[in-house]
Amino acid sequence: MPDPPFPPKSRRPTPDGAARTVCPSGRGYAELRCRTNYSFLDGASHPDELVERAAELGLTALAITDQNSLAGVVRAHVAAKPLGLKLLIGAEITPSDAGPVLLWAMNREGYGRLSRLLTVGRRRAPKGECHLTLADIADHAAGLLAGVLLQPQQLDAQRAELPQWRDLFGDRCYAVAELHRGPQDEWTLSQMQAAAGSARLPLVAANGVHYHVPERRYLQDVLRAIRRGCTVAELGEHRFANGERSLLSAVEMRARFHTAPDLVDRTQELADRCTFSLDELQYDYPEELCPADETLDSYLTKLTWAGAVGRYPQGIPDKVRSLLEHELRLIAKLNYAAYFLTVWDLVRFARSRDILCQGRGSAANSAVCFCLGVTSVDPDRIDVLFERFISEERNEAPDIDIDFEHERREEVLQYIYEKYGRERAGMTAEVITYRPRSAVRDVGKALGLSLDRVDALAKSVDHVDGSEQLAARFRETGFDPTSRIGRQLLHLVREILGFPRHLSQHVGGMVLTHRPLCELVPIENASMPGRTVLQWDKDDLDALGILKVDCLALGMLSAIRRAFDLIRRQTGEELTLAAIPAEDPAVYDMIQQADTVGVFQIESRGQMSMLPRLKPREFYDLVIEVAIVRPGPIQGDMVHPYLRRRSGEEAVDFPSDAVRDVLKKTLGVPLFQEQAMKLAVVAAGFTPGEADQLRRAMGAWRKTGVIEKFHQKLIAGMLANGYTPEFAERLYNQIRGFGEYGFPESHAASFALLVYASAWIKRYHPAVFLAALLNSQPMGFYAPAQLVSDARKHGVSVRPVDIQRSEWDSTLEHDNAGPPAVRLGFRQLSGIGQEVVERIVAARRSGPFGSVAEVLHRTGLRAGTLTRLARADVFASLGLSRREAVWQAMALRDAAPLFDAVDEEPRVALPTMSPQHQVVADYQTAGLSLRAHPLQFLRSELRELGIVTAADLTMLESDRRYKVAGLVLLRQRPSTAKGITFVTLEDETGTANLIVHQATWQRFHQIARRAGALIARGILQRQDGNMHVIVDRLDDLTTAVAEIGTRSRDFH
Amino acid sequence: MLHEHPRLRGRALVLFADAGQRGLRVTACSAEAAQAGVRPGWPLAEARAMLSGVRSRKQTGAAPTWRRSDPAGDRESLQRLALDAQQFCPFVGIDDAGESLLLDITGCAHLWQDERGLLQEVVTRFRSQAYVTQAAIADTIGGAWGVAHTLSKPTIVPPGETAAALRPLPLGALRFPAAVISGLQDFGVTTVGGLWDLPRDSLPSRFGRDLLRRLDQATGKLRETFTPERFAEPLVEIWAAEEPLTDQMQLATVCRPLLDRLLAALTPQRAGLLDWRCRFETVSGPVEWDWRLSQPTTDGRHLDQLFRLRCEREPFPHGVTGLRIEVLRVGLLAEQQSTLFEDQRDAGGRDLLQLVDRLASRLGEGAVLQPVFLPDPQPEYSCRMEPWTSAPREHEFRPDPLLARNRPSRLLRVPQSLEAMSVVPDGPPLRLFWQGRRWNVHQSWGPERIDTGWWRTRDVRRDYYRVETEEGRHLWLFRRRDTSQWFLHGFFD
Repeated sequence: MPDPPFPPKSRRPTPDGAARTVCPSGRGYAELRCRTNYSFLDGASHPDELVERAAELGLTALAITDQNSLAGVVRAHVAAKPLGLKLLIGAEITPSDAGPVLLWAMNREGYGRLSRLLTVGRRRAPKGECHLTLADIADHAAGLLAGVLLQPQQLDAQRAELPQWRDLFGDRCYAVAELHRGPQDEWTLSQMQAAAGSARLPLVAANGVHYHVPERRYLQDVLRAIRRGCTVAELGEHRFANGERSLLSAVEMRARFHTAPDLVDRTQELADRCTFSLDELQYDYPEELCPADETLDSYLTKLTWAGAVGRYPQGIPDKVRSLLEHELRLIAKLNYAAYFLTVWDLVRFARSRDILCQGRGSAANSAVCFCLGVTSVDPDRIDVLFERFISEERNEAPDIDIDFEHERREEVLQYIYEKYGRERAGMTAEVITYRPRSAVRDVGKALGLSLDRVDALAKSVDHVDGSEQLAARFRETGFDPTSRIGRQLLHLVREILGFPRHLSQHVGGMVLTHRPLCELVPIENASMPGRTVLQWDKDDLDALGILKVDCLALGMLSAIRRAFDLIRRQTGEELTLAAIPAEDPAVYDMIQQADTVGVFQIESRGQMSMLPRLKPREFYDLVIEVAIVRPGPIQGDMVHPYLRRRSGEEAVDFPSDAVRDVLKKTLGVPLFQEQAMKLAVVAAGFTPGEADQLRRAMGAWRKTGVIEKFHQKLIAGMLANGYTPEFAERLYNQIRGFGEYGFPESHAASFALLVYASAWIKRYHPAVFLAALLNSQPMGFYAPAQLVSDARKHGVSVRPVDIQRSEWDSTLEHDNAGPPAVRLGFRQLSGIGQEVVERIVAARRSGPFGSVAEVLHRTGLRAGTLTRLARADVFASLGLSRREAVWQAMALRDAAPLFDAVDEEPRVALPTMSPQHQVVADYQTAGLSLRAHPLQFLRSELRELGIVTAADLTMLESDRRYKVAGLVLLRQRPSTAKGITFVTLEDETGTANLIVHQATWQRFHQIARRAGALIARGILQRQDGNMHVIVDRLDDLTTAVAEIGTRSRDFH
Repeated sequence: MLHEHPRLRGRALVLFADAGQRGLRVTACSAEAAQAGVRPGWPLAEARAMLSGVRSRKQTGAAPTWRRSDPAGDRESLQRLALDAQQFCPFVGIDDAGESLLLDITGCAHLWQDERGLLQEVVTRFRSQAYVTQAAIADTIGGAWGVAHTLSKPTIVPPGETAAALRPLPLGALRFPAAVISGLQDFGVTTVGGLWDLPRDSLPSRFGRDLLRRLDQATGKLRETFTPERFAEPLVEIWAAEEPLTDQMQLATVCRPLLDRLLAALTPQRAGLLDWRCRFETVSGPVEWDWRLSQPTTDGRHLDQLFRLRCEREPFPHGVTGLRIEVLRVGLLAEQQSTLFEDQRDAGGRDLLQLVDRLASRLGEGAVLQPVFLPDPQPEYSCRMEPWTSAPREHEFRPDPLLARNRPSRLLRVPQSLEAMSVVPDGPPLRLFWQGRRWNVHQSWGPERIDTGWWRTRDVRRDYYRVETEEGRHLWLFRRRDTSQWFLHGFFD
């Protein structure tokens, strides 16, 4: 680069102010280069903030050009539409063999190319990167405008590159100049003009926007520091020297380019050439769903009626018949047949592979879905109102989630990829955003706070659900929020909350299309091999009316399918979810007693404590039970009113008939998300669309202003409709509670069916239930040890893993006429792989084993594996104690058996193992013991310490302080519990429920978090038939338990 | 460690090492830390959390200390102790694990009357240096090791009774790997005696051949030897005078041959001298001078010069009765190709560094500085002076040329406030009042906007202008954007 001309030609530069006055007002300016915060950890404003600011400044258009990404464009589009701001969709790409270039979509074709280009680059690069070359861009150039970013430092190199770009894009190619009040702006501009001129490229101005207002530059520095993993002070050359990269008005841009106003004018020309809008994106369903001679609607109708005959062999009830007719009419009218067929296809595939599945969600509990086999909730059994789920006026896509067996969902996903191809199927993205904890951690580090301070601060905001409490929490950790750094931290954390940090994959949302999906939205690699993910999340897809099917994994379905298999083998009875005998009083009796360990959903401590109070008597009670113990109803304070009304302590009243219609089923208390939304409609005059926006706004971290707007509107609407202010406020709080954690009735109904099914199996086939649960681990709340001990309490006999009898899975053994016993499978043992077990089982087919050595020779397993098996005491049926078996196994060698036939060794007298030691060894190898509870051996010592048993607690006087000890069954910290942790201890007599407040948890943090066994001291409280200990002290019992029966292993 | 840093006594001390994928782990900790619950093998972060928790609860006690573990340093310290222990007997070694001292006291006990006296003396000696000491005397190395490691009291095993003494001891007394010990414990075998009760032939196939070797070494069935530690030869040259020297010239003449001999000793290793120390024994006590050179050298003349220059700077020690020169650090010499014509550039670099050494020797290290560019947009922080001999930086930052050309040749460390007038509120200056007079601006360039340093002090927000006055002076000015005050920050001439 030539030297800057010093001293240059003598000319007084026009001052900013002067330029402003001569600027012809009214001439437009379009910002052509703008990064949102979807250029992760670089852009410092949300897309909607940028859009709103651009509209405010009167820009004629705004281009969204994130780095290798279209992830932020939908949000910008949604924000721009009501404001009437023209949006240019584009991206910034830096090919490996050239400098950076901006690409803008002129039309739908160009957009498709851009999306495909990004897909190409993303798919060949590791997650988060994009590898492209000039040749790739050349292949996808049609319909795109290109803007080569001129870089003052590399102008010489770029001069050589510019003709290539011009050859590639012809008159669709521009050079882009940016000025940021650096040294020698005027001279830099003249150099750029010369470079563009000699390449015969039109030069156009842009501002390289990274944030919507200059005040965001602090956050931008912080984001860069987070991205580079250093502090802001260490950023050095990687930080911008000033805050000039905000959105500017036409006047300001003209002042900056006062020597070349044509550059600013040309932005308009470029914007005019781009006519593409995201509204043009048409979603089209895969068409291969129905045979050639059928239409989608006729095929769906045919399938539905055929299914109905199967469901109701005795004849279709009139109610169902009219429901079906009505629903099919609606589906045809709204053009949703393809969607239902897509779902049906997945369910059909799963069924063909014997994968148990069930649909849930707004449209899933329709009569059509029941007949298609998507759900098993008989429309006769609950009151289905299809319109509640598919509303004509909202034109919103129906929502069906399908749960599959958790171990086999991948088969379904791969089926989808296989059937539709990677080009036409992809997984929805999940945008991972900053929450208080991650925000404090990352910002704190970037500001240079010490690691332990950052750690303490981050932990302190663990359960903060808004930015208001941050300052208070900081103060609690001894950090002054009014100090300079404290204020900086607070401010920056508040700003960064809700910022996207990276894309992850949604738990199961699949998008399927007819035309190539990658021309709709870029697809990139997920961190998991074999998965590909879209750049848009479910809200983006919703906004553009693109339908997705959620394929989720559910452990309980695996367990239920296994239980069905076992029952079939045992009794020949063919069960399905729909065929389980309904409304069995014995099942409800069991549920009312909270005898629900292992039962789907209602096995948690919160659920169990609710059951005796709610006393479910029929299916709909289970629907309520599933929905009521959720953060939404708990935060909205709906649980107690409902219970009081149910028990008749409180009168059920409705302020109006409209409200009665909505809340009749739940005794006037809104328990389901749909009810809360519906109330906003009927009581406050919201449109359904507004009600939905309200719910979404509640869930978001930022935008307190938006919530306030809705608050006012809701209250005003209700007062206008004659409701009392108290009722209005209460409803507002209830909706607020539903915002993030609400549970819709449509989901609760599907779940309730699984609750009933699993409870039924537990009640009538306890051994099957245990085996099925053990074979589906990990799932649910309880570890195998607790499931086994619960089953044994119900009279199931459980037998240990044995080399002669056990298989990989737990199995049932029938001795004679008695109930079956459960033989534990090898999968309970740690460190034994499935292929090992397959060899054992195969070798066993030719007859039982006679010795440990014979097992080795017949299976060809490694000697080390035999030792591991021996440690797990699986050779008892050979008449060998654990130690004897291990002793024998240890002498075995892998080598050829011919030469190494073990010489007859003298029988060794090994010290016998104490019962205590046996139990500990059982726990070490299998995680459970069928012999005894480990605490039993410590009891005399514990008693000396004044420790009572769990059984004692039920009889002791409450409101006094006791000590209990036990193995930690579970630690649970619901987000609603304000930092309280629920811990359940188990000793040889039963379980004890502990409540650990946050302060206590912090004080005994190490023990509380790590220990596998605890001594807890606290006040015993009884309430509503529930009993718990409010803990004030914890001590570690882990070492004592591990050392039961052994002498100390430390020798020095 | 405690021995070398007495102030660490009574504090929680934790040593840690990088355990690769498992992150930083605690390798050892002091009794104080152990009392707080820290255990070797823990992740360092947990140990930190635990100790900080203990402190905040008790609000007492000194802060815990964290050090990276240094196995090589440990080994060296143990070697020093081994050499130290040669006062008791000629052969002192270190065991295989590198943790214990082995003393062959054959024929030495009578010097301390008897074995008990010797043992007592050894223990007293180490305890006086604040070492926790466990010791034993036995027929075999294995026996003594086992007894010393399991009994905290100094013990003497009478001749021929080693096996009996070992029998009740835990398995840890036999120098087995931890896996073997826990394997045996699984069978309920916890003592040496319990092991002996098992059929000997059945052991190797289960626990490895090494088990029998250790067993037999302990009982003396198998002979065991060790390699005694020897003094490493330090690179030291010593000179002693009959009469105190008082003349500086004489001192240098004495020094020169010592240096030459040291350099000659280094030559075979292709090494040059980097850091060295002169210790003068004078009538008024010892004096030490240290040198740090900028590159390894074998040039005796250069060292001699440095010595003389230092004598000029500091009052050289009078009445020197002895001189000891010690090499503290050496460095590998850069490959030097002997060409017919010496490469001028290389020679230039070497000369420069020699000059630096001489200047530093004459003026002190803090007086020879070089400017270092820093990647900070704020002008005050974009350059710093650093001692030339300080360690080289990994990546030297080179400022962007366009930026560099727009920075003044002379920057004021603190910007000077001045009065200036401009036509428009945020336009360039037209007139300045500085040094008590008025300057008319002939032309100006700018503004260059620098907004930075918000995390450091108050937010810096400046518009910089380069101005040329009518007198032809080129100044660098800025206007604070918050207060609109003008400052002079540098000169281009």
